[in-house]
Amino acid sequence: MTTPTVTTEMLHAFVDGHLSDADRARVEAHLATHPEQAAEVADWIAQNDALRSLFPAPDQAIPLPEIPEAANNPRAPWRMVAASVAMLGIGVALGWAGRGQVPVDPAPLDVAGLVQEAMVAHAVYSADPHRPVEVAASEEALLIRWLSNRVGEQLSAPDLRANGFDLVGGRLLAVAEGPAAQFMYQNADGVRITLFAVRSDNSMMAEFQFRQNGSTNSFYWQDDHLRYAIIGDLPRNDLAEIATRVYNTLI
Amino acid sequence: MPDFKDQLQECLPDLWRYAFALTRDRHRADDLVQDCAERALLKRHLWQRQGALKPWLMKMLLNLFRNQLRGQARRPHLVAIDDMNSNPASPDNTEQKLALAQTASAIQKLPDDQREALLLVVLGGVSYKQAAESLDVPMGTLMSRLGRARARLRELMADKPMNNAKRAP
Repeated sequence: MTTPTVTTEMLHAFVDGHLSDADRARVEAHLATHPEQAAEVADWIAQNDALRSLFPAPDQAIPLPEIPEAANNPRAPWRMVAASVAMLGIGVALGWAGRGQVPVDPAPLDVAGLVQEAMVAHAVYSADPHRPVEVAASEEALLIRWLSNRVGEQLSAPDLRANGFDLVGGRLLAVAEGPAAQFMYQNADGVRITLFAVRSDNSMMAEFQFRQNGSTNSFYWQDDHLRYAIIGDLPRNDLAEIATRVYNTLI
Repeated sequence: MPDFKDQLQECLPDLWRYAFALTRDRHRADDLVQDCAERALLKRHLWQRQGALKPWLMKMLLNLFRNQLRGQARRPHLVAIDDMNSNPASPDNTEQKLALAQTASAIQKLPDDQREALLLVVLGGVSYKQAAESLDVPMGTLMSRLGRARARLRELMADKPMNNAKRAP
């Protein structure tokens, strides 16, 4: 035994090139007298080589994305990123909403109808003092599994505690597009907001839309899999902040 | 103080390579890295300057990837073998190509935590300590996942009829 202290960790570090010259020499000496371990290490090296061949380093420089506060950076946007489109969408939607206008919907989808349904469900259930949700947040795992199964897409209830909203629970809704999920949140003042999600089979770019109906505001967006609306009796800017958080959590 | 953007820029190739290995799709890797870099720029005030930037970025990338995966659980993403090997680093030898395809498929059979650990260590350009930090696990857990991933891959490759091809230089 030339080296009594060659550990499994050292063998990994040997394969991954994390050893000093001295330790590498010790491992090599050890392997020379331990053929089974040497075969194992040889296989690990072959695995590493295969992984590096399968997934080579990028062959082009990767530019940094544009973000709003870096607007003075002269580089052109490298590509359309859904998130930045959505962030822009909020700004645009707020701009439009500020003029009391509703953005024109270029899609053949019945966004207005869907948002209307989500708003009605919000009005009905957020005002219900006794049974606002079918499954409470205390059974969140069950809630998520159940609603995901029924809606037909994996859902999640975003954590909105940073905005002061706790999850109350959720329920299943029946809308024209099919089964939909409604997650309800509540803040310390008892203000409730609902997140509505229904499966979408189109593959549109994400987009944000803002709607207002009396004191109830809503944001709507969609991705490849789901169409969402977030609804609440909150000032537009507060709701926009929450919508942004939800969007960023769900991407 | 080194400029945050410069440091971020330096990390992008390794981030992209890890993203490519996780998604097995160049375009999805592009998107993932852009999302990650954008988020890093927006949240740079959350980064603790004492530590290295890369583990923080890797952790963010992984979270973005896992979120995407949850959203797409019902839509498995298929990548043709030809797409995977259409790069200059690929061997032109058919047997080696097959062996690579077998490795690719064996990787997919690993549990997520083992695959994430192995790919990060091999392709992420990080130390073990940084890898553990990126995955938010203790060092011992990282090493144990790495060990199990490599052992499982050996088993999976040994089952294959072509297993001798992987020894080709």
